[in-house]
Amino acid sequence: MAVIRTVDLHKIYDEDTVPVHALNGVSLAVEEGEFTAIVGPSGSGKTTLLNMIGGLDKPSRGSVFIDEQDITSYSDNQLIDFRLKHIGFVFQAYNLIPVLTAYENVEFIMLLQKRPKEERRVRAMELLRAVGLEEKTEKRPTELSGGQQQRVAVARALASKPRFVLADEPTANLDSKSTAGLLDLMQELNQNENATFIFSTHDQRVIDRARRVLTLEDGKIVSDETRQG
Amino acid sequence: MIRKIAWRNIWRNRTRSLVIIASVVMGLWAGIFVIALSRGMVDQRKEKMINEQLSHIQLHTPGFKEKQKLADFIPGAAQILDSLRNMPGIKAVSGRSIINGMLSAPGGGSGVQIIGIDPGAENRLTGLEKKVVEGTYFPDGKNRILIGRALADKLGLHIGSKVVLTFLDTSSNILAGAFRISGLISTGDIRLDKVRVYARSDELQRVLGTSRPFIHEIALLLENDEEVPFYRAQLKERYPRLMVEAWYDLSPELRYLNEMMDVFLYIFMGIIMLALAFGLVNTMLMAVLERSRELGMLMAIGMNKRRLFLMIVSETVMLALTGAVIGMVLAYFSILIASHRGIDLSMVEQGMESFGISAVLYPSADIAYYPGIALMVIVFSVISAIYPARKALKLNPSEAIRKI
Ligand SMILES: Nc1ncnc2c1ncn2[C@@H]1O[C@H](COP(=O)(O)OP(=O)(O)OP(=O)(O)O)[C@@H](O)[C@H]1O
Ligand SMILES: [Mg+2]
Repeated sequence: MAVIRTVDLHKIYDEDTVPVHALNGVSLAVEEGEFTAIVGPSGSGKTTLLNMIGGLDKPSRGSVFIDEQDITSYSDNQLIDFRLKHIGFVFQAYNLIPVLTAYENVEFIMLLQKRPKEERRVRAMELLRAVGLEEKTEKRPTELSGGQQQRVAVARALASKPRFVLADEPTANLDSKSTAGLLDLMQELNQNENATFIFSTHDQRVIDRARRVLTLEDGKIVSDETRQG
Repeated sequence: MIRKIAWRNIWRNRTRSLVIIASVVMGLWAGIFVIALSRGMVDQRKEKMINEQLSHIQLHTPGFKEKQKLADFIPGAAQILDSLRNMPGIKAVSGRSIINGMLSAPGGGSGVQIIGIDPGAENRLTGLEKKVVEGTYFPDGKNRILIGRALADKLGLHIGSKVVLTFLDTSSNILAGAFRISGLISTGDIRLDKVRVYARSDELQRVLGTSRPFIHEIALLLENDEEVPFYRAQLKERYPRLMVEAWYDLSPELRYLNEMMDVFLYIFMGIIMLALAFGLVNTMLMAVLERSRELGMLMAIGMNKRRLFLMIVSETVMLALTGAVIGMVLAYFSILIASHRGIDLSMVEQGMESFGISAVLYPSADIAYYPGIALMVIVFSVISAIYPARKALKLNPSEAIRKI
């Protein structure tokens, strides 16, 4: 059973003025445990697609099924709740709450989920250790490097025990060393914890690490490669 | 955690927050100080009126107050006075004869109100002796009287001047008695000082040629001013044929002033807070707009609208309450100091005293208002948070994040 399934997704921005067809009938399925890159030129619709899958925006046509539930019919409030329970997010920047420490940022999402205190503490520490920041738990985002901030964001995304993690150009603001480090981390979590990752990227080095690469052009999937190994 | 975030968010833009906090501090400090001053003024006036003029409770015959007839004296006044003196909870009692008459002197005459008193009892009740500004309070010797200084000035009288008091008896015969001025009084109320004459009631009795004490008024002061309604009811029951009135019956305007003051002060505080609320709205609106990406991110990862709303409301309330607490503490201590030292307004003394207001104001250090004011701050800041919070809720997470 696919974790994510989209059926003939269309997204048209500014329908009444100058319509922009950002997505033109995207149908895809993502299975549990995938490590998938969405690639394509700028403006090809990567962000738009991730937003549809993540329930941040609604398609003009077509449906998104998460665990076979159609989320396109959900209300705004239902979607927020759904995202909290089922989806982890890593954005390009501004992932973290600047007034909270690394630890508190990770804990925060579990607090929203009303998890008990002890569980929050154990999981937050476990994840911060997994992302190699056990020494930096009390640091605020401004005291961390860009790469470290993205690691905290990954820890935060996984803390909620989501069905999958969506990452829109998570390495765009990182140097090559931090990029490699973040990808190592994501790959490790994918293998050890069976976390499903879907990320968009422009970076060839990132694309090379993906096990499946979906290529978008003008809002359509033009290729879908799965690599072995 | 939401409260923690809200609190820390306040300090992200320190200057902006401090400016609004400072205005809340100043607004509340000034507001509370004015309240304390007004309250103190009203309380002082009330105290003064009760302690020097009205007393807590007065007894008359039903007809006396309207016509002030000599014949409307209280029957059995001596026994009533005795039993009141022995009643627990009553601090002081005085019986008075009140006779309208004329004061004649070589320099002219004037209509006066002659109050016959027992000097000791009257002094215990109203502290009349303290009002003597010149001369002596009923020294030994016969037929000594006190008159208002304003009256003495008008008629060119001095200590030791001889005057004649004339009045009608119950059968309209003109009676006259010669008296000597032993003291001049100033009550702080010029209107009274122009008509008041105090004499010993037993000496007036002698002029009237009667052995009956003509007591028209019995005034009493209680130990505890909260017990006035209770004693008023008690005495009414005990003396059904007399009119028993508390200070608030005798001076409805004083009672009204007392009660309206609270309403007025809350309205006044409300106006200050309304002004502060605009500042709060502005500050929070700026905060929300400059954090739109972050707020979008929070909604994206699953912070629902209720929590987001709560976060912005908490931030606003904390911002206002921080200022309010500082303002209240400053107000409390400055009022405490001022209430001990008093604020001397002697520049306008003349005008104020004729209204029965003392020239030195003591702001009321009563903290009973503070919880109400704190509540108002909370209510106003919650209201101020609504507009900025609605702005935040209208953010579309995908658009807010795209701006990254
Ligand atoms: N809110 C919007 N209103 C109007 N047009 C939009 C909006 N968001 C995206 N678009 C348009 O939709 C198309 C797809 O945009 P999208 O951001 O999904 O592309 P992308 O592949 O993520 O590009 P990039 O690699 O630059 O991030 C673009 O032509 C873009 O201009
Ligand atoms: Mg994009």
